[in-house]
Amino acid sequence: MVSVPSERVRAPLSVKIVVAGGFGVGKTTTVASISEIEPLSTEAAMTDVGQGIDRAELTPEKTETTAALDFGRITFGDDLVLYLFGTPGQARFSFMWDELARGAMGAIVVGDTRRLAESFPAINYFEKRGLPFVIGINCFDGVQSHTVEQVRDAVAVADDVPVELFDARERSSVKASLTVLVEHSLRRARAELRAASEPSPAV
Amino acid sequence: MTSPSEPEPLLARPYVLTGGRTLGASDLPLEAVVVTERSSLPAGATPEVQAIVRLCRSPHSIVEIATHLRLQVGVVRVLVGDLADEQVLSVGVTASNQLDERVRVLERLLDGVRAL
Repeated sequence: MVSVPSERVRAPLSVKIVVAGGFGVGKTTTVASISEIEPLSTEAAMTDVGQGIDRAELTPEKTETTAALDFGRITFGDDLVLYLFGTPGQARFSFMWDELARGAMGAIVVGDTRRLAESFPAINYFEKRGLPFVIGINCFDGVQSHTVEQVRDAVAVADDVPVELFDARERSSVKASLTVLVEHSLRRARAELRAASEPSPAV
Repeated sequence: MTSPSEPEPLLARPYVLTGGRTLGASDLPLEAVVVTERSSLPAGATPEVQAIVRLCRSPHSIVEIATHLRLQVGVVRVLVGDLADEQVLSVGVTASNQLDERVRVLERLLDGVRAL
């Protein structure tokens, strides 16, 4: 007659981090190195059924727009889950970026020094959006062909944006970059919180 | 405990799957985690709804549901939204826009990442 209160599986808090960058730059490898699951790839039809059908101007072709999206997961205890979304850096997938950036804790822009320009769309987007990001230069084959300073000069990001050299294949290296990102996001959020709670100073 | 076999992939027109409806909880974030709260299915549950309820006996996010069941994200949002309204499922919290809350979550995340 014991009525066992069913073990309620409470849904944990979940957050996400975006891993962006040009094609073949190591986004999926980055996610795979740190994810607790084999990264899943989905032809995520990001355009909502709702949006697609409600808006008359959208053609059926447009509602079918898909882009491959890789994601991995890290579970922290029983109350927090982090999803890492690897997303194409090309401008034509910008419809997906809004979706991914919404509520994100930050972004890692993975770059390759041989074609840094491919990371510019992602950098521009996150700057405009005000989403904290770090630049992770993936050192393919352990080769470091440019210094952090050279990269920083080339991408011309704000001084507080961390630029890191890392190896997407190394878990410890990805973990270090992830830590730098979360620290950066936290600093930013604390500063914003302070600014919000102080009377706005005359500029 | 775990179901003996993975649910069959479901392939059908999105519009049909949502009963022709297009609006609903379309704001559910991709990372929102969904958990089944009760096993009794709503009357007339479609195979897709049944599959979602079954899958979410262990927590799965919106994007994981879409991937595992091969459903469009938009379809999953509508169906999960309905099931949450009917309290068949519960949907976990995601990051809020409130700065103090964001700071708290980032602190927790930083602890977690450092301990990896």
